[in-house]
Amino acid sequence: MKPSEVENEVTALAKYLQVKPCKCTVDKKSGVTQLKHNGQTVCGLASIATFLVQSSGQTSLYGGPCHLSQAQIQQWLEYRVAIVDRCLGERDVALVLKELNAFLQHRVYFVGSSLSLADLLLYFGLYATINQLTFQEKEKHIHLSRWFNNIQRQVNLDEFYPQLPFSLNHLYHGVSAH
Amino acid sequence: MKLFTDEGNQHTLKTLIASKLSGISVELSHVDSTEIVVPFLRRSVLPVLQTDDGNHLFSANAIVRYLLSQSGKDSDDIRVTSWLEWESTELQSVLSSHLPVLYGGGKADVQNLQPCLKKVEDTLSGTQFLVQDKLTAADICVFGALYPLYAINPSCFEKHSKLSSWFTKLSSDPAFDTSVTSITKGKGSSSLKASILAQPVVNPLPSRKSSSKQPEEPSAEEEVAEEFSFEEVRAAQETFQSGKKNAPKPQERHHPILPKKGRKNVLITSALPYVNNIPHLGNIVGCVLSADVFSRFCRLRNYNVLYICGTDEYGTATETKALEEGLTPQEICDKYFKLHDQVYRWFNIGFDFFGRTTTKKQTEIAQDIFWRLHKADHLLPETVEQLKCETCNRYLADRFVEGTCPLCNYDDARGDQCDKCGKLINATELKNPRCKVCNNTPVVKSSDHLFLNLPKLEAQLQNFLDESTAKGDWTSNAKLITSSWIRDGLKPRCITRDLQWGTPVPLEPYTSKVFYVWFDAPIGYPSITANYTSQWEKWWKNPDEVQLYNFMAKDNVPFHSVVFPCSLLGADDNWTLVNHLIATEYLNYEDSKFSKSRGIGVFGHHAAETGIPSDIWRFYLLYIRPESQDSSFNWSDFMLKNNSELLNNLGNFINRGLMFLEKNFGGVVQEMNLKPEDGQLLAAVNQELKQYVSLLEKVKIRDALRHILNISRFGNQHIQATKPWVLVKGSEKEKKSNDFPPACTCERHIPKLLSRKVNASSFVNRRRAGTVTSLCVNISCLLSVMLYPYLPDTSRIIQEQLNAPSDVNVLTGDFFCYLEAGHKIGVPKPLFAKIEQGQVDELKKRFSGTQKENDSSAPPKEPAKPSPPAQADPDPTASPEDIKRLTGEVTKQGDLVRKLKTEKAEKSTIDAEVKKLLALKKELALASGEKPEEGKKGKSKKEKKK
Repeated sequence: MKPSEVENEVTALAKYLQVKPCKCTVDKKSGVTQLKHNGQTVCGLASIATFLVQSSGQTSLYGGPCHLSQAQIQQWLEYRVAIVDRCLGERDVALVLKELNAFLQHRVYFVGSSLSLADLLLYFGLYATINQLTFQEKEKHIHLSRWFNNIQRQVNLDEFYPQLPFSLNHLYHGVSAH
Repeated sequence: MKLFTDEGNQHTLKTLIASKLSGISVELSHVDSTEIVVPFLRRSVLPVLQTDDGNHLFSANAIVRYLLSQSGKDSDDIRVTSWLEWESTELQSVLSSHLPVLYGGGKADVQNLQPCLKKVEDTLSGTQFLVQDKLTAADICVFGALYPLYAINPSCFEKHSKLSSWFTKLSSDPAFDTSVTSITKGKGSSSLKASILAQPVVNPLPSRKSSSKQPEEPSAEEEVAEEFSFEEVRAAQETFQSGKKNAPKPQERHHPILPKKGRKNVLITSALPYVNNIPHLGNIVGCVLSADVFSRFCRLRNYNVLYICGTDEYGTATETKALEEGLTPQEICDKYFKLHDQVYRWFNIGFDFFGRTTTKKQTEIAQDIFWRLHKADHLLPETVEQLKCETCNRYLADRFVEGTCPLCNYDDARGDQCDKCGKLINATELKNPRCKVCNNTPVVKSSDHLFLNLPKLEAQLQNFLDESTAKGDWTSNAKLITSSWIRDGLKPRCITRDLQWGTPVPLEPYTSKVFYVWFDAPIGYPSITANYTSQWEKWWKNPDEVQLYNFMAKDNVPFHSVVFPCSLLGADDNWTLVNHLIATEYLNYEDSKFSKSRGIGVFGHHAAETGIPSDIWRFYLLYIRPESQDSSFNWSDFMLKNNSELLNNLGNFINRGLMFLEKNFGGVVQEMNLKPEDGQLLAAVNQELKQYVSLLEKVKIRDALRHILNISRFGNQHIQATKPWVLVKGSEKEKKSNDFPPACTCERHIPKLLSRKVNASSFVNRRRAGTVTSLCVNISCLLSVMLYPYLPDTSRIIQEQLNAPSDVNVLTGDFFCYLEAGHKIGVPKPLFAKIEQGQVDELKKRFSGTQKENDSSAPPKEPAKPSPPAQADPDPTASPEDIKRLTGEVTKQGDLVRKLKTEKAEKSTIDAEVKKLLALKKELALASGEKPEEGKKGKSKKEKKK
């Protein structure tokens, strides 16, 4: 991700959590994002995001008291940084879209039944890709689209992530999702 | 809890350690390395923890933390999170490619590992463990990740002393030790090999350069890097210099244009715009403009081409508008037809005939097809149960009925779909239905209608489609939409309606009904042709000799690819069926939708009012034509493309060439002695020209345009490189002398020149300048021809400035020299004007919907919906008397409100009357099949009496 994209994301997240945005930098050589706060340095985008959530006190976004939910959120954050952010080409992206679409078939949110950090970070991470999808492709990954549309409306971070259009009409209905 | 794993998996090692340390046991279940345990994943990721409630954790690091946290042993410290993130990204991206090489027996470069090992080493220089002097998940996971390195070479960490001792210490911990044994089964590194080789790779971070998708356009300053071979250059030169004499002449076109044997006969239609809707930019580029480009291109190719279009005029919306404006439907159609005609004329849409569907021919042909369908038994009579509101005295369409969902008991279900459970239902199935307008209970009434038996025709249709899509140029979205429609299963479709304004059904007992719009409207194509020439059947019943192109936006595809062909196949009369279906995606306006009611977007006459010439609009719309995906009209982009591509690239090239010729050579084309670099340019131009032709043959309009701009770009580069203005300078002395070389330096004048004491090199330079300039002038001539389909006015103007013969207007794919030495050009003038930021800011504001639009017409809908089906009226039998009555009441109420307002009556009184007025307007809107919100603005411009 370009430094400006990372900044955008962290600022957006901070705004959503209603915490003060802190300056984050991207190390040129390793590409690692760093956040400096009160003398403490936090490395890695997923860690920074976790840190911001913890600072904001909104534990419900991090699974509340449930350990399993927390683990699931960690897992999806890892998915975001290790897989989504590191897609090397069309095939990788297509695979990711397929997997997530399959996962979301019977789910509203990634973890549990409410919005969590996992949804947020995957929303940010997938934004660029979904922005480039045609309506046909969005319909092909209909569960992912439904989830994305839901999240974007719920978090309403228009100034950082302008709303993407989704068609509610089936124009390509019947085209198999295989 | 079950832990699925393959044998010898290093990540499982992490989880086993965690399990031991937390005291929580997991049941191991061994599977194959390639098995996909998690249902939604497409890769084999192991280990996977399955909890008792069926949830899956497929991240080993997350499993570790979960197990630890269950026993209260996890740490909150954010650094643990950072280490785990680092392990799963940085470390694994190195290891997942390093380890397979190492374990596969190859030579792995240990240098790659150094940064990672160093990081661990540096951290451990101050502490015993990675975080907080306490064993955490960080230690477990990094240990597990590094273990395979150690297993295959125990001395791999010797350069890092702290790392080494940390590793050794952990290994001796009983939890770690037993876990290792459990994984390796005492067999050392060989036990890990299979798992390592099967694991998915974590990619390194994509480098910034390649992170985005391919940009849509090539960079503006791309060099002509390609070198053309000697053969290519020679061929290009030869064609240029001597090809003209064998070049075909443009065919003359005389109306009526009819198919001719031995020629390529092309019939082009564009989706008929609904007469009542003022077209916007999206409608225009999607249909009539695209078809126009192709039609003009076909003319240049000397194909025998006919371009037909017209307004689609039947339907409820027209009936309603008529009552609203106090005119007859026919008068409405006449009025709005003129509007469409004017708009398209302004845009230079070169229809060979622009007609209407409300003609005798339409009735004739539609009824003829109908009878044939009837006789061949393709029509099914059916009684349709519809809900009729007796109070309002009309049949209610689905969306005007509300009630209780029969499936989930939700109170507020709509007539076609329940908002709560989302299931599709029929309005007649609703419990406790009520009319949306007056809230009374409608009754179920039966009405007889005729249905076209699509299933019966499916086999024939499929055969036709298989052949047509294979042989012809259908856009991919058209093919996809068609196949998904068919896959959904074809059902009989109703082709009649209880209405007045339409083509009457000739069969008893349906004679009081009319044909439903999407059966009737496509028949407009042949009927409009019939109004153009009595020999229309030579086009429409001649599939062997005619190639039919249908242009439309994607929402009209099913009607053109399924319904209409079925009608024609069923009629069995050797009808010409569509060979090439060209469908565009949607054009958005500044990233939102065009909306007439909200005043968002550029509609009809607006474009003309901006003062920007139609060619510029054509250019930009075609530049952003939504072919493979939606695109968006953007004012800033509009300005940018005009100023950069038209003005600085194309206009600049043509103008400077002509001006230079006029100023320095008296406007007379010079002898062209081509040098190798000129030959390269010629070869490049030829290549672009050929690509342009082959792209337009396949109707790839947007892509072909790029090649025109490429040619002018190469031309500009060539001029920059040869610098003719320097070449013509000559020495000071010669300038003063009267014997300075005459304007023309062709062979006839050489003796004259040589007899003077003229500096030889400046003479040669001048000739060189003459060659280059004349070559560019000829390229400009070629460009004027290539521009004709896109910018017809500009094309003509360029040819006037060139004084070019009309013979140039032919495209063969070869570049000929039409303007030979001695040819005198006309007067050059700049072709394009700059668009300023201020202009654009003002225009953008004007069309952004902040001002109220005064005339209401079409409901706010998606762009590009000219042909009727998508906006089919929902209300089959709004009786005209009702509408008339309601209209009267609305007028009366409106007058009352106005009176009260002028009299400055009590606010509460005014409000009450306004409320009544709005309710009446809503009723009227529903009756006329328009969206209720539409009624708001309509009344201010109502014409009561003519």
